[in-house]
Amino acid sequence: MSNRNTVALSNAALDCPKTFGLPHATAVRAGNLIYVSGLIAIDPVTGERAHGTTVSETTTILSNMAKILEDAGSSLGQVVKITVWLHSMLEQEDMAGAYKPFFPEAPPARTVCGARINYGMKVQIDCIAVSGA
Amino acid sequence: MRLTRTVHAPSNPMLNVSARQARPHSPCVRAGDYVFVSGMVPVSPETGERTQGPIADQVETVLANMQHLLESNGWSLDQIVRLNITLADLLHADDMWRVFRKFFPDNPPAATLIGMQLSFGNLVEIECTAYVGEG
Repeated sequence: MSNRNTVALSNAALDCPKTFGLPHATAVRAGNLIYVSGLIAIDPVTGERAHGTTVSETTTILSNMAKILEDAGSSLGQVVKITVWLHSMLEQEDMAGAYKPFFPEAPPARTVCGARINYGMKVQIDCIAVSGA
Repeated sequence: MRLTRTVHAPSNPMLNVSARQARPHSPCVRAGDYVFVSGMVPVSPETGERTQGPIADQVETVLANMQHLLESNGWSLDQIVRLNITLADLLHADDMWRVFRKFFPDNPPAATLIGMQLSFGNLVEIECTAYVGEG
């Protein structure tokens, strides 16, 4: 068995690449690490994009990321590196306020960067996590 | 345990942008079972010069050169676990994915796409991480 596996998602609505016909995986496990693709805010019930504020999009993304990591046998507490792209760095404080409750202790290394995000989303977040809950 | 860290280059010296342009970085670095590839922009394997052109050509060149870099060291594209794709213009996303699909037809890696200003008028830059461990 290969040590590089696509993570099977329990909620198909979170499989954004499949929903939108993109040729990449949502998350891939390699050895003891799990690589999660850049996530945008997706409604976990409908699978549709959930455009909103920087706060609402950050909350939606990290809630979905928690589920994806659980499907990979990991958790937000196991994230080692996270990258956040914002459509405007002026909204960094908004993102940070919504972000903080998800990482109450020993938060991971983080990069925040201003960039253009596809489909007019305000936030995109990817991460690398280690296995284990 | 001390993790070994080794620097690796493509066998075609024209594609070693780090060395040719005297940049203080390496084409890729292996740390334990993982390989970290620097951001790659379209460069001609014949001349070593930047290749401007349509986005599909630029993506094709970058991914072909990435394949060469990995295969030069006994690795392969299907060991890539995650790519970070930067486009100068997000309107090129569909064309980028069309070419991407040819290189990763089965069990594709995780990927992140962003739009950002790139140097030298390049339309695309791609970096990746590969897992080259046992199994």
